[in-house]
Amino acid sequence: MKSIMVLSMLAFSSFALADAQVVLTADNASKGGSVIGMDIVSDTNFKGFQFDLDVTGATSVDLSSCTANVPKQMTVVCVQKGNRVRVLAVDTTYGTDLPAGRLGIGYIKLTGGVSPTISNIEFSDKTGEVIPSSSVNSK
Amino acid sequence: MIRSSKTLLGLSLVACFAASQANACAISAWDAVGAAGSVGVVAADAVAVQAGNSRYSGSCALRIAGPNKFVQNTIAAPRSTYKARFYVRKDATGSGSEVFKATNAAGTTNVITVTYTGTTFSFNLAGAATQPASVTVPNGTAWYSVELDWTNAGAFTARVVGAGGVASTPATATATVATAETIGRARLGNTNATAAGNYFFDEFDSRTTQAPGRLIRGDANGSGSVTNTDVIQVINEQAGAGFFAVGQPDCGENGSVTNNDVICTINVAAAN
Repeated sequence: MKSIMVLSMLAFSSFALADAQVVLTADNASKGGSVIGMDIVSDTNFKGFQFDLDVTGATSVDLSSCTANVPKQMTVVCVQKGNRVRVLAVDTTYGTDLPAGRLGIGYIKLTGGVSPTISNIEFSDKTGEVIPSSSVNSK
Repeated sequence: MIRSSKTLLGLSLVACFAASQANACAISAWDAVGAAGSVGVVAADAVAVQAGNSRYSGSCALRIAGPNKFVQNTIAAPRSTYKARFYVRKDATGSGSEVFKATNAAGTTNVITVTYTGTTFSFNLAGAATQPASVTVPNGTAWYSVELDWTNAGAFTARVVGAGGVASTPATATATVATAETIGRARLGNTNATAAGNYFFDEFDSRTTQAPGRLIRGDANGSGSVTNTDVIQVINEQAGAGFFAVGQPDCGENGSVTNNDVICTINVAAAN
């Protein structure tokens, strides 16, 4: 069974269209473990993003494929610090950005029957400005 | 709390041109420049960031070339406690000199004197039976923050950190100030009359209670944290297309913004 958690980045008000979304797809397939797929869905160009996943309660966290699908022009970091996993990716080529649309990030494997929550999302455009947004969690 | 923040750069003028803006740097926030008491003598150069120049934060810094060139802050009510921070970077010119001097109101007693040679920071205190240990630094042309914490007839601590957040050796220099004194002026620059030494200065801040602390390296947009947005601003500055970040993009604190600062900022953003 797959459940999808969507964290929407809404511009200016909750009634506006989303600028960007981090989509987590949880596949609770086997033995208390789960594979969390991570994607970006954006309706505007962007150059970088980051977010944190709270993995409190996980007995193990496998980040080996955390950024497996990120385009090669992006420099990516996926690092665990305590109960937090930080995912950060930036297109390090000057003047370019990533087109609107869907972008795969990768996936992480968790055991312990936990569903990660997202916080500290930040998207940036190619000028280094934060893309105006607010976040809403839904399942 | 009494606070005196002299950013050295006073963004005093924003001139609009056809398709761009130009920022002028000024030292008008200071009371005097040049030789002691010679108000209005322009002996220090406040320069915009451009080839050959360097800043730690914002778009300007103070460049000092040669002896007896400094800016001065006259303190209306002399202080019995003094907590100051400034950033300094020495170029390869000269053997070094005094870079900071706090005196009494009359200027007759050098209460705190800081000397920087490019390899060593030395501190001299009026009224101290034993002077603080000298502080050695690993990179003679990197930016270093100097944090001073002085109390009348009390304790003194100096802390030097820079070159990519590297603590100097020793991490702090301490001493006891036995003689009561107050601080009525502070000078920043090459305060020695004859000793050679070219320096850049930035982000001077002095207070009576809460210490200013260090600025966040890699915080290119000055938001108070380091995120992917700062990484992008460092990328845009190091590309050399005329964009200058308003915060601290020189994450490696070596005096220029390069690809190494992009990586440095990513690492800081990932770890904080």
